[in-house]
Amino acid sequence: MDDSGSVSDWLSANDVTGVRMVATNHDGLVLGKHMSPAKFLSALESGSPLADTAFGVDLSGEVALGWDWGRWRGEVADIVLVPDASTLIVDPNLDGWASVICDFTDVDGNPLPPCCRGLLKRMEARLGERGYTAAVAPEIEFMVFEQPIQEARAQRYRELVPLGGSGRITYLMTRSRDLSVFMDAVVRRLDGLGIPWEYWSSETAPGQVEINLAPTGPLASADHVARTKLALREVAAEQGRSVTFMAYGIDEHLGGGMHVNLSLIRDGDNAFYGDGERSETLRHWVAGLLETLPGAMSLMSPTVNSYRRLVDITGPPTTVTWGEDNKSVAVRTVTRDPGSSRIEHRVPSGDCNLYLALAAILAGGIVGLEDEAEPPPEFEGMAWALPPGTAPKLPHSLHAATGALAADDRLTEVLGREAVSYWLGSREWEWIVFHTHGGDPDAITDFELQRYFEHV
Amino acid sequence: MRRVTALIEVEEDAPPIVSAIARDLAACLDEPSFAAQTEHVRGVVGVRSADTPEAATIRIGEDAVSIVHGVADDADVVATTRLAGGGDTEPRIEGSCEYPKLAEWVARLVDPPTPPWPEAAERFWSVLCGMPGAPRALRVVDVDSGEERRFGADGDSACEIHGAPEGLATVFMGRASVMEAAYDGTVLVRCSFPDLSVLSGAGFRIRHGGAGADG
Repeated sequence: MDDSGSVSDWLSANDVTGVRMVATNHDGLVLGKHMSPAKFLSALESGSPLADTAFGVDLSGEVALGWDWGRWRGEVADIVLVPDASTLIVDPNLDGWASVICDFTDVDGNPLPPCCRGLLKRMEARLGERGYTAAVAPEIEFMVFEQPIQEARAQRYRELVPLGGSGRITYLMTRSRDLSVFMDAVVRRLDGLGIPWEYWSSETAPGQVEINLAPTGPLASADHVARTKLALREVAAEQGRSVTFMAYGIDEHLGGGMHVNLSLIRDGDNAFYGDGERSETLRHWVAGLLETLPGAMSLMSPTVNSYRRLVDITGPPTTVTWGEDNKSVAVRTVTRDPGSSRIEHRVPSGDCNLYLALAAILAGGIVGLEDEAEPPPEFEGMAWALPPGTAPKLPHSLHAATGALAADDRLTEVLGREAVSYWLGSREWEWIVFHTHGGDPDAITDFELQRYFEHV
Repeated sequence: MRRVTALIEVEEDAPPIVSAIARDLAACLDEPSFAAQTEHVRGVVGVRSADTPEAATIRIGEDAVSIVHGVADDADVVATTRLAGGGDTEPRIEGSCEYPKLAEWVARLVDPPTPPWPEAAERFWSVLCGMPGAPRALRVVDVDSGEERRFGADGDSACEIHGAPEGLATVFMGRASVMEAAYDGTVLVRCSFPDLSVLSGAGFRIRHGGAGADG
């Protein structure tokens, strides 16, 4: 759809009586407005204003502060929600409603530095300047509970009953039918939304599910994940269930991740494979990912809770390592053949904002390509529970990860200083608020559950 | 553990309460009588915040004073206090009968003397002026005495903070953010909202350190 006239026709042809304009802020919150068709058409021309508090409050709704907000913010100044018409869809489960994904700009139309979708676009463009496109397939992990969200709230998100039984077996097909009833509705909804899913399976923790989306471009992939998470919450509401994407704390042993599979394409070919083996491009890409991994960590694991999942031998990586077909390392390469050659980035946590995580991954890869970096030796064996000095450890807290990003000039240069500055300020705030408002480094408190269960 | 001064060490990734206690301890040790007192006490001290869920343990050993989060089971005394300062609430100390010297030591630590506000303001400005987005000038007005201080460039319009001496000192020591203090009326401000963010951030840096900051 390239002009408002054709969009107008499209709205009429699809009996659209309202449009949901949605956008994701830096914290991963989905924000937006419900628009009449006429107002939406005008927003296509000039955007729709909203207050800069879209980037001004935290996951608990408190004013987040402590850093240089930038010139685009003022005394609750206007910013602008700009629809991306290419994402306009009819929502089959919401009669008469269409949905469109938006970017945030300032009142002059300039991308806002902390707009995560804009940041990912910039990284895609920079990658494109080198002749590459990326194909991304995310793996979304989440937990589903028998109780509706109203009951979960009343129980302060505690003592919830996992949907599908209590077995701790991955891929188990004999979980009770209530889980597959829920997931049947989810995948039908994704079909209706035009989101290509490949498979879902039960994960290890009771009530834990992983759904894998088909490879597509980074921006489309992040859009799909944003819509999938919304769809999961909506199906849960319809079926009287509740879901969360918290990285850790619901099951006392197991956390949730958002693994990212990524291939690079150049001139139609998989650039990670060449001459019968993994390519030089892959080596540079992996080198850049590892070099920038400590700095990129907070963009892939954005909350204090994210770091609780980094426990040796339970699944998530704990070291800055890579290896072929090795699921204990941070970056797993799979280079058996040209068709499937990819990296699987295993660091992003289930509560990550995929726009930011992908921006960080592309930025790391770009650093590797531009600098023609060479990776450290491939890690051989299990990269968990290692003796000291064997391999560098991932930052193990939001505080450490924030410090690593503050110290990484190269990654900051690629991502953009204003974007990084805003992010660092918001992560410092997250860390301070966690500790001073009710979080406990050694236990999951009510504060932590209330802050993250419904909002990440 | 990470050493932040010759005597004080804190855990890696120290949470705010640990950083704040380390800072208060370093400041207290600048006072000769407190330093002398510290040389003669040994033991384990718990500190709980009366107004937040935060807690810490201070171990006073022969060569170092170490600070970690949480109250250890073997704490000899436990002080509960308003870490954010303000008010006249005395710290409540458990174990003072058995360990009177430790109790006296921690009572001084958690209730340090408040410096005159101009002194605190000068330090606050020294932190603030180095931060991105900082105002070019800061004017502070003591509403009780009418005394004023101005920091930064002459001639530029300045951010202003007005308040009673104790409120000003509380803000400039980072014990309450400028935002919190403006919200509850402890201080009044004349600045932009983005300025208020950076002013509050200066308080965080003084109290807790910044991104990846060391204690």
